[in-house]
Amino acid sequence: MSFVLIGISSLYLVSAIIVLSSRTNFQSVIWFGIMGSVSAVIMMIIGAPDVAMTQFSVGVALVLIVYIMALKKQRRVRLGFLDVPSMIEELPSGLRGLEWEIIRLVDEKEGYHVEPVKFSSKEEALKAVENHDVDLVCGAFTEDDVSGRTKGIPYLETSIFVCNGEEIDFVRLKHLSRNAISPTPEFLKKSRYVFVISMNSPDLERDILEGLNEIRSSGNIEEIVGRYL
Amino acid sequence: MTGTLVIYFSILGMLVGTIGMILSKDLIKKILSLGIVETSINLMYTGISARSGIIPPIVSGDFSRTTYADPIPQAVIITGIVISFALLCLSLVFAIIIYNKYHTMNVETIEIIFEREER
Amino acid sequence: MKIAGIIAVTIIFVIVMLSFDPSGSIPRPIEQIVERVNVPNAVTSVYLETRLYDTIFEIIVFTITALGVAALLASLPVNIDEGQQVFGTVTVYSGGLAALSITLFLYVVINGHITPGGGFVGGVVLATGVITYGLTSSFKKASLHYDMLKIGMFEKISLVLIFAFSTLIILLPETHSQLLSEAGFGSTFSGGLIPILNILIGIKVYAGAWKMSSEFISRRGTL
Repeated sequence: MSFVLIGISSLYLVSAIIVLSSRTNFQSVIWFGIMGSVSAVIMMIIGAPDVAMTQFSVGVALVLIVYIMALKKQRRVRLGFLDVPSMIEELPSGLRGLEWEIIRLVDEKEGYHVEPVKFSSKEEALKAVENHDVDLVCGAFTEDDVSGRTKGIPYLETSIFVCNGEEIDFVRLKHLSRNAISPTPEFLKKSRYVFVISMNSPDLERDILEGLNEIRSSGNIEEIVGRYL
Repeated sequence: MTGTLVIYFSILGMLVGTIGMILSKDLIKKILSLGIVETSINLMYTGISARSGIIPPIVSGDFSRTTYADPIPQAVIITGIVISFALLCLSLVFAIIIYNKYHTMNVETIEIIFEREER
Repeated sequence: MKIAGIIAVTIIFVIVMLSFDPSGSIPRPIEQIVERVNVPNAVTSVYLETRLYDTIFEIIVFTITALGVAALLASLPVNIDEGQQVFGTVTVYSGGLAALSITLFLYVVINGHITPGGGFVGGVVLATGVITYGLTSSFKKASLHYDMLKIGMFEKISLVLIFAFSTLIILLPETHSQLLSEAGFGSTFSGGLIPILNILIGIKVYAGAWKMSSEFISRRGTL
């Protein structure tokens, strides 16, 4: 009898230590449930059936439900996009492109749910971001498009050229030059591609920055860029 | 013999929970460590009740065995478990409100924001 | 600073463990309790007859906490029920399990003075059953029963009745001891006012636990 009790009690202590040293909050909550169950088993062996029933139903079941409800992030991100080939485009099999890959990686890490909305022109998309109709806009926007009440999160370096009197960026130039022959463009300045979000969403901005830093430090971004450009 | 063993292990559990409350930097982990301390306290009370014997205190008419467990600490701790669940719900509500306002669960960041707001 | 705190806490707990003397006198009060209250379950007779004050104040604390949680969470927006993910087979079984948990609640609460159980356990078991039914089928259907069965009114009535019966037990001990020694030992109708108090405590604890958990689930969204 004593050996069984010593064994189960050391299991209780070990799971209490594992609760404190887990990396994510979700794992800690699950080990807390295991610890509560082990303590209820000890109470049953000791000879206290009332207390064991109460500990099982309150200390394990209800506490787990309440913690998981408090921990989950239930945010959806409405993503507006312009159809730019090889950046983000809509095919019958779903969305494809460089920016779609990056956004999907970042949002899976943070637990968002992405809903795509299509726009037809830059001004319409920018106005929708300022009015909070969508949360995030992508589609080869550069730093010049950011103004007023919007903010840009840069993720890739690029250059802006002047061609036929208007300024276009590198990807659109590549797409144009693939379809038609155009006069040689002139290099204007260096810029960066950005994701455009509105000024009043600091937590979304911080989550995207953290996700981008993680992707950058693990080296994935060069591989994704090499695949699409 | 069994009761004393359970009491020693539960005091060790309380030590683990208290150290966890001091050392953790996340608000949710602090509340979880408080839950560890409370579970260990419940275990200690049933250990105290088991010093008089380990047969459940449901009497069926005769007192031929004299090693029933002690019913008084068990009755006290049943109400304690339900109260600790209510307290946990209230602390989580405060944690949710803090997260919605300051968007962080890190204790040091919250302290810095509070100091800045006081000035 | 933190290391000094940890060392101090460790020293205190080691001192407590070393100064614990396991050879004191061991109390055995169970004979007196069962003879006085005439009910098989000694734990129920302790928290409903000889230590009734603890139960009264526990009910008060529980009520105030449920009120506090409902009032503090009222400023968050209610999540619109869109896309609760359910699996077909789980939906079929969960209705049956909810009915089973209602039966278990009634058995545990009414026989609280003969078998292990009582008011607190029964209330929490029913709350867990209904919440699990709501999480696996549609949560809207499960939260409709609160208004349809007028559980809010029953909760307030049971609170008043708990206070009335406890005052009766505390102020008039001779009446209650006469009630207790009437029926036989171990039958369902023995125990005087104790089964009635158990049922009322079960309803109260179920209503409080359901209100707290359903506020969390409806404001933060289902799984």
